[in-house]
Amino acid sequence: MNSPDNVYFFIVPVLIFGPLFLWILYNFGIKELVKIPGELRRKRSREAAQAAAFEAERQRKRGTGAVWLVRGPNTSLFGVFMQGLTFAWFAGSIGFFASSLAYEYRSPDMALIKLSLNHAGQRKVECTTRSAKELAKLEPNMRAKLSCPRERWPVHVELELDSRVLFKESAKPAGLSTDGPSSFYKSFVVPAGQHQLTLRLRDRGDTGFGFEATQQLTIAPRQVIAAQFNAARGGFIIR
Amino acid sequence: MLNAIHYPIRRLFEGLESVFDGPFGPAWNPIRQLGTLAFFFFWIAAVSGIYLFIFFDTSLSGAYDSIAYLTREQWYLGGIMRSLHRYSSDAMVACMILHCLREFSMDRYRGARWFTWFTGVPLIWLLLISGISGYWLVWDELAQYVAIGSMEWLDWLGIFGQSVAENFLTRGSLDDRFFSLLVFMHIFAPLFLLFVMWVHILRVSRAKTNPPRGLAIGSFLMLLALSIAVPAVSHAPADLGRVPATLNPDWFFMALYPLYDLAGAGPLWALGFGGSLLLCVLPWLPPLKRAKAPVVFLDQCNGCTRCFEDCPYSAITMQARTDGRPFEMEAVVNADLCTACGICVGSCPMSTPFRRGAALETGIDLPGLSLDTVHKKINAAITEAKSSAGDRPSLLVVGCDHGVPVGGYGGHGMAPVSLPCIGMLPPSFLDYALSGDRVDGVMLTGCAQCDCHHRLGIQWTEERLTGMRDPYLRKRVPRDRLDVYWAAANESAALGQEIDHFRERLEQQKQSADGEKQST
Ligand code: HEM
Ligand code: SF4
Ligand code: SF4
Repeated sequence: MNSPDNVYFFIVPVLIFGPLFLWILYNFGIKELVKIPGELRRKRSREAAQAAAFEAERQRKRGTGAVWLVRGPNTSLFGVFMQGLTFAWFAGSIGFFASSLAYEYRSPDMALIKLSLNHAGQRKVECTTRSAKELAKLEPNMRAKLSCPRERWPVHVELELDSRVLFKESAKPAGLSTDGPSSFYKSFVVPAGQHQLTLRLRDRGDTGFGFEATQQLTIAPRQVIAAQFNAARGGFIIR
Repeated sequence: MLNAIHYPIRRLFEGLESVFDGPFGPAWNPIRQLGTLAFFFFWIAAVSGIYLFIFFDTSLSGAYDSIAYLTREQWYLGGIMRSLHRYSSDAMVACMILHCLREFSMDRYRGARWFTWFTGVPLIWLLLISGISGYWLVWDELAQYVAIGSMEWLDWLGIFGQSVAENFLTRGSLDDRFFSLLVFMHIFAPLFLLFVMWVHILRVSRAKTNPPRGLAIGSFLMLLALSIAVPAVSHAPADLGRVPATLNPDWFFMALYPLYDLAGAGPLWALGFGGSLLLCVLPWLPPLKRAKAPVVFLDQCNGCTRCFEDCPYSAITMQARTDGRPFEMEAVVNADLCTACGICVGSCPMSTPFRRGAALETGIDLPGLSLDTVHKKINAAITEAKSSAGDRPSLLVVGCDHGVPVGGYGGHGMAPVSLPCIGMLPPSFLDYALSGDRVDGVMLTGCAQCDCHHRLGIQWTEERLTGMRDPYLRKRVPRDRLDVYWAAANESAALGQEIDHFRERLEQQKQSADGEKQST
């Protein structure tokens, strides 16, 4: 608990769910603990005495044949020994599945290129200034000087590795009025070693690419290369 | 069709139960305690989790080391707590899966039980989320793998607007704030799990949430031994700039992740959602043909509350008297909660065969199998047993529809009657059969001990016969002519053997009684 800046992060849920938690605990039995004095204690000892009498009756009749054949827990030495064996078997399977069964996620000589970008395409129609005449036609509360249809172009991205195109997709802008950013997220498993990575992006519905970057990379085994995009910082960022 | 699915699984469980009945005895048999064991493991995880949290550093840079400290420097307590925390959660998953399969195969999820089944489904999700979010906190390579997998999987839904997996893109992408969100998940999810566990057993009257003490001690020792022998350890620290290669996942929680790597997010969502949906509607595929719920006859009911106390599904409530008779309360049945087990009929003091009148009437009665019908069946069986006995002792066998089928125990001096639950039999009927020498012996059987299909029928029967519970078996009933043997549906051989022994005993009694008569 060393990050004091988000201490509220814990206090708020505790305030909300703490009482809920206590209430559940209460219903699960603390109720009885809290009310222990008086009536409840007497009731409990009465019940305990009853249960003990019942158990004694059961024990007395157990195995005597005539009426009763109640089989209780097995507490013989052999029984306990066999129980131990059963538990050992159960523990063994828990231990095995919990941490001993290996899984090869990626072969250790491969690396990963992760393409992840969020970029808003250009507006399909540039903003125009409304004339006085146009303004007058609008409802009084809608009279904004600039008319900006909000729809954007989809963004198109290509990723090329050693002159092979691995990825070539367009993404529609997010949002109901298609005015949000387009986003991409995709990973590529590649062999470690020397590579040439090229990235291209188009965001205005023409045929060329507004942004393009090429980089020579020496990728170590198991390394993660992140390809991101930030128009304000000049385009693609490869790390 | 449904039976063809239930049957093999049920046989498997019954087989296992028989095997475990030996070393454990029915009362401690873990296969019959899967739900209570899951609860018990939850408490162990909760207590050990609170201890771990005291030492846990919730910052991204400190988390791994704080856990490593517990495992290495504080191995004698912190390390053991960590292992207990991990293994008890794993054991909980194992118990949950078996518990759910068992209730399914034994057809204890349809009809009035749908609610308990239905609320069990979110428990699967919550338990998995609780465990997986716990593994994130270690912030080792496994955490990295599981976190990225989970986030990519969530991203597929596209409901967050922006990619959540982006938070794990590369070195430096993840900030403390997002990590705190993960910590928060691991506190919130188990709390919510507990809440839903409580809802899960809301409709189960006198639900057992604690395993028997011997079993609890055994399971705890098991976890402790495992924790000492194989302490839980971390993988190498997480590094978002490196791809994890070989991992040792916890398959109890992470079995689906390799599947995700293989098949992608879409099929896995289909499996997760489709599977859950299927589980949710299972109780109605097809719905249980429900027998009619019992009806209260106010002219007989005196408001004694016994049926209310004994109903295993809280289907009976007591309300203020509506018919003006001088009693405080009367019983009311909520048909939606009722499984038509008849236990309430067995508990009503008015259910007695020693009454005059054309038809037997009682305070609460099943329309599908009225007490009067039971009375007639028993009379018929007594006549049959008597007439086929010759000079052997005659035997009435009373069983239930969920244990060994008793239909075959007819002829040669025996005759069977089967009830929906052995708890439906009022003890006065035993008095009726035995005290008046109507038959020489009565054999009672039902489901396996500690595993009554209607949950409480066996317990109430035992308590009634031993005089611990109303209505109890009268003292005058000769106990040596009554035998009780609980047997699961697959234990007909054992029941047959017990019946043979019982008849031998009855024969000896008869001979010695005859001998006494002759000598006087
Ligand atoms: C966290 C996991 C779970 C716990 C701790 C748990 C615990 C319990 C407990 C204590 C009972 C009452 C037993 C009794 O006294 O008769 C019960 C009953 C039941 N459970 Fe669960 N359960 C879990 C998960 C599930 C799941 C996943 C399902 C199925 C989807 C399920 C289905 C049922 C059913 C159908 C019953 C009713 C049995 C009856 O009425 O006879 N449970 N459970
Ligand atoms: S038949 Fe069984 S479930 Fe229905 S009210 Fe009676 S005791 Fe309860
Ligand atoms: S057991 Fe019988 S008499 Fe007692 S409240 Fe129930 S129906 Fe009425």
